[in-house]
Amino acid sequence: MTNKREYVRTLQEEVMKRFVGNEEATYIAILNLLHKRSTLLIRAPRGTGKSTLMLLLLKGMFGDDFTVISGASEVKRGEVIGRLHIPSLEKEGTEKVLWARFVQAHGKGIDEVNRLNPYTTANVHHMMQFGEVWAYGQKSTASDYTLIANENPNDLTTFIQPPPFYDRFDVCVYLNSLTVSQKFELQEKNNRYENDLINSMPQVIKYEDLLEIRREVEGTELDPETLGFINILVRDFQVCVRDKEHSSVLPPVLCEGCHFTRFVCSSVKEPPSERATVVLTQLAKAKKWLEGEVRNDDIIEMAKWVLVHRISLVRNENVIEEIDELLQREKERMLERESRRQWFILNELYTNYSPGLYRTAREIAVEDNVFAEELYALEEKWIKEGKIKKEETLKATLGIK
Amino acid sequence: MESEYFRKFLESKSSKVNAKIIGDLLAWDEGLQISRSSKFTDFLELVYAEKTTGDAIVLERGTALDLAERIEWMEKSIESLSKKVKVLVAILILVSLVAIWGWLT
Repeated sequence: MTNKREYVRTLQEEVMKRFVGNEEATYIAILNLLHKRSTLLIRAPRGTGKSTLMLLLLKGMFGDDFTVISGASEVKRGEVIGRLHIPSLEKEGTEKVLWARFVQAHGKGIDEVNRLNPYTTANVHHMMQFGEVWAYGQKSTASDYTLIANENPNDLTTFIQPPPFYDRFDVCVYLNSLTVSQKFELQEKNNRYENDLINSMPQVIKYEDLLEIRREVEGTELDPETLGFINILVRDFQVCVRDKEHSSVLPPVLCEGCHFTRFVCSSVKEPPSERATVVLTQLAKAKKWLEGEVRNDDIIEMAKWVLVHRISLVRNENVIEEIDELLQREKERMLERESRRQWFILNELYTNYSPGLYRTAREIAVEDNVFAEELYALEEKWIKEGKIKKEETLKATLGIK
Repeated sequence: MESEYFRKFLESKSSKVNAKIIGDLLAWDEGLQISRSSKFTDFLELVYAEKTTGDAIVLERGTALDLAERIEWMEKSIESLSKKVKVLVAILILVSLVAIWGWLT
């Protein structure tokens, strides 16, 4: 049996033979290709290789069997999805739709997605959401696909794409411009491949193998602690005792006087959707499948690319640096949780109510709003069982509705 | 509703915690290991023993206060003695000058 992991490693090697720098971004992009209906967004300034990376990945996986549309030129309504078959309409009076190649292709690319017109965006958004497209009242179901898009976030766009559309992209990687030595490296690579980096890229994975890899990755099991780490990490970016998800006032104003202002939650204006958890789990599975293990530090690294396009921060001068800093704080917070033995205490409280342990848990909850949420749930249960009174609860003490 | 996966996570975390519940209290062994360099010697042991065990010297409050009092007394004695020495030196110079004058005349 051929080792399918070798295909993935070869893909990475072949891409890196033609692409300079940005190793971390490229690695994450490749890991993200290993699950069903994979979607990737590449963000970079003009001329830093975002289209090149997109094409190299598509070529490596699909050979010449992929379709790229361009946001800059795709202005005709409907052409991207399908068009009416005029002879059928004229002769038989029936509306037959000819589905566009973009819909049928397993490998899909969108160049400069920020320039896509709203009609096409809506269609692509629907495809990413439900795995189907609609045209002229008819539906076509998209089979497993890979969608890679790119954009320059600093370009003046023709249309402002809605945040939920970006949320459908599993990960978003940012590319950096090249240093002097990297420019030399690029020149060498261009010479080696006769200035045709894209066409020299071989197809290293057959479509059938890709499907098999995706099945294996999906079937990879993560241990409960890794799953817990992912869930807690994402929850830390979502949680708000003042319910910012449903509030018209956002941080930092919302956080004034809040007990939890020193935590990550107060730095996040718009929290990430639940897709962040799903994608991070998929990446962790891919990493475990490919490397044999996934550590908590790997998850922290991967989280950056999962969160960057899904959240809006209070300080957003440099979103990558800010997220990096927040994730470093998260690492320390996870260690604090370990040292407090709080999950052990919660486990004990789940089994048996103990006034002494409850007092300890209340003290911990004041230091950890994610833990506090779980304690609130237990308090509700104990109130029903008559073990504690409503006015004695932590929620009541902290004045949380 | 309680999730089975969540309980598995809590159980997995708990299985790695070496803690005991004693009544209403939770206790665990931190497993602190004292290295040689962190071992300490008592002050009196340092003064009177030929060999000491640690790199750090620990003083009891009473011993430290006694030591501080003795240092203060010694500083005062040094100050007083240095004054006396200055006076004696001045007298010696004066007597020497008188003797030289007497010898010359």
